[in-house]
Amino acid sequence: MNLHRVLAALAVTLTLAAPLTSHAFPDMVRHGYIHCATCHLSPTGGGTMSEYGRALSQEVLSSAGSEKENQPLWGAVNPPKWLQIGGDERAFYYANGTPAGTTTKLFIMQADAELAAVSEHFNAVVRGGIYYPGNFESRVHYLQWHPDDHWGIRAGRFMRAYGIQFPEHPLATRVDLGFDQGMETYNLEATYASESWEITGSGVFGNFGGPGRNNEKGFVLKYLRQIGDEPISIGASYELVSSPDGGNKKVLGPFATVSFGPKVCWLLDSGVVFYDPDKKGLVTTQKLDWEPTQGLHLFGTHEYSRPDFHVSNTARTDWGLGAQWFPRPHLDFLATYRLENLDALYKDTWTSTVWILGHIYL
Amino acid sequence: MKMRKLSMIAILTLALASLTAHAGEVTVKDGKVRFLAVGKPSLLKIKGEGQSLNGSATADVKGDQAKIGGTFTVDLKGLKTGIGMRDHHMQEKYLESEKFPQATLKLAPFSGKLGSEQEFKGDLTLKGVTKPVTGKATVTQSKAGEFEVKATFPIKLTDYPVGVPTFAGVTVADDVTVETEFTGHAK
Repeated sequence: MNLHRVLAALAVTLTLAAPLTSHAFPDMVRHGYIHCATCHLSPTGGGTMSEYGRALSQEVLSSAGSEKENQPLWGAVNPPKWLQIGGDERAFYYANGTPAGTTTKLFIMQADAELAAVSEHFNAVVRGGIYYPGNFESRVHYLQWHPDDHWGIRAGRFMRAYGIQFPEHPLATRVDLGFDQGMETYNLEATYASESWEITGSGVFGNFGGPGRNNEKGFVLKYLRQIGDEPISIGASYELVSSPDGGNKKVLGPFATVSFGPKVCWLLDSGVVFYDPDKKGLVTTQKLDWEPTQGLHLFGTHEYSRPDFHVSNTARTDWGLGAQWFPRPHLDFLATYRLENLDALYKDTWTSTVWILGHIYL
Repeated sequence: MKMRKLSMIAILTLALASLTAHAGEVTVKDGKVRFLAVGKPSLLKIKGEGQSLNGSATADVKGDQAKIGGTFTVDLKGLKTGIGMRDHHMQEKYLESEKFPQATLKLAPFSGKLGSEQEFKGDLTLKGVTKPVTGKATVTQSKAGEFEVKATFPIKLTDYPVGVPTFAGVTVADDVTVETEFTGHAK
């Protein structure tokens, strides 16, 4: 890997990275936040941020920042209270070294905007934009009803609730279990939340033959609870879906977010997959995150994915080391070095990948 | 021989009694105060903490029975919730801690067995308004002349002139649980 090329690409990436987004940050359990809905309109995280979420972005996520900076477009606009705006722009560079050679690419992964009309009991949310490799689409649009403080009902297109919604969507439990970006489905979802636990059930209706990458239909259940008053949450998800080719897929996966004080957090997500008639697999993702100083994260990841235990060369193992920095509110940069072993392609050979990401949320 | 045995028992009893018996004033310094509130609409747990409870109490301990009462003050400026901006709003807008720097808890004397939970009654003064409070407390004694007290009691924010605390779209529910933990030392 040519270091100068990587640094040049990083500089270009940082220059290009500029507009809108909202990731979910499941490690916020470090600060005692177990409900995604504290910071996002979506009870499963990501998407438009609440006013409180914007305040937290400045207070606990970023190295520095002012109260004005956490406002939409850094305070340049002042939308009415009923209108919330958001969106993501992400520029991405990767370099992948394999026995067959090295490939590099720099591209805009996502440039979208989100508008949400909000009231005490009802929200209407629409997100749309351009997604790599240049598709214009709306991946998220839904109506939401909160009859009281505990219940939330949502209908529309969005990512159904399963496990930990890592912001790094290519991680194994997102990609290999069907929860990658672009795999949003039409769902009818109900969430009940108490102070210490929440349960979400979603009916999944595929994409009605639309352009979505996921046309599975069925249901998903997810349960999450905080352990006492500790910054620890555990839970489990279960999905039963049928794919358009007729086979059933069942996925059962425990997950956990465990903090060791406010600076260290370990996240585990998993899925044991049962395909009809007798195919079984396992997918896990682990991440250990350390925040030595506010806004700077150093992390390691481990992913294991084997979609079929009956076939010996379907396993994929990844180890990653990386850093993520939030210099100001709603701005972050991420760099990861990954070692990957693909049984099917390069048995006993580890390939290396560098990811560099620049991201801004408006 | 019998007399000698009785004398030994008497001496031991007196020694034990002097170890556990105490009656008089105790001082309390840097006790812990915590509060737990719930923010809506997202059912967010808001925890505040301070190490600023001071005061004096009267304690009467005989055997495994204790009777304790006293007056304690809490430095409101020392309360933190973990988010600086939220603390600023709490101090400036709702507690007005420049104008009302302290809350006061007057604990009516209550008695019970050491180590077991007892009900207590008292008066809490916050922002110049005094309201009765009732809660549970446990008193333990680790050594002579030193007492540990853990107490918890609920309050309603609307009983005091603090308004309805709201921060960044999150409104604090009316019911707040207060916990205190302090050690009293004999004067």
